[in-house]
Amino acid sequence: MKIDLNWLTESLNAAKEGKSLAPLESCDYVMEHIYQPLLRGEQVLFSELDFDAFCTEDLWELDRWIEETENTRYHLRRLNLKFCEAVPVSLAKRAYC
Amino acid sequence: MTSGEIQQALPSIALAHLFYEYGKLDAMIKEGYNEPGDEFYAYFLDLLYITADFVYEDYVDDYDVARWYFSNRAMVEYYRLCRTYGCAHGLKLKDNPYMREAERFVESAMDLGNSYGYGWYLNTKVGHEWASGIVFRTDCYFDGEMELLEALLSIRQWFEVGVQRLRKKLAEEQQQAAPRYMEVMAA
Repeated sequence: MKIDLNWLTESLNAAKEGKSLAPLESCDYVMEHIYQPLLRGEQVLFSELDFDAFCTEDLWELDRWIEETENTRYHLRRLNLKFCEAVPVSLAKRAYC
Repeated sequence: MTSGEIQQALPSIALAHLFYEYGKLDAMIKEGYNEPGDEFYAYFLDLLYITADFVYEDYVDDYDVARWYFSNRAMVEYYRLCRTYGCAHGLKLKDNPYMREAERFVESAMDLGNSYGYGWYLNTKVGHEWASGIVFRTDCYFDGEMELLEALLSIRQWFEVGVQRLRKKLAEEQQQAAPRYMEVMAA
């Protein structure tokens, strides 16, 4: 595989600026009391949740956010893998950067 | 849990939220569902039994069709009182405003949005303990589990409120009728 770094730099510069991977801010309660504890492998009990602090739509928003985050992670992993697999080749003639 | 596993568990949290809204979270927890889980269909099938006082299921394996029957004490009493009201006012069942009101509510509740693979029928008979109820049929394409649970919870709640309203109405009418009866008897 060949990676043209000049082309890559130009492409990244020309790329339209998209959304950064922002944390889900619409419902702090869902993040703090559901998502993060579950991610840490902690037990979440329905009897201890404050159901007035969030609505069902917040859960679907979290679902979309996870989807988006995972999608971005997947593409970054693929890009990283491509760089890792690339074998550096010396230029035929001397060049100064 | 991984993010993917958390995604799988979100519908169970949505169910808990739904049961909380209808005051049935304790019943859900008592049923053994106090934690988020990824087996949504298991939750759904078990929780159906909390949505009504009487639930009967019949599965026809050959056609992959499930038939359900959901009945509530409040619903049966409501339809009994509807008949009492109808007798007192000389109304046929189809002209009874309380019958029509209940029918309209159930119709709107049982419209499960964009779901498909189901059919239902409202039984308003009062001949036995669970004579009034909803006959519900699903096939293998049914995809309105969450909507069905919400519909059944809302129907139960509606009849619980409705039966109190109707009891009160009949009691008032009885009170008003009593002095008139005494006057007639005295005359």
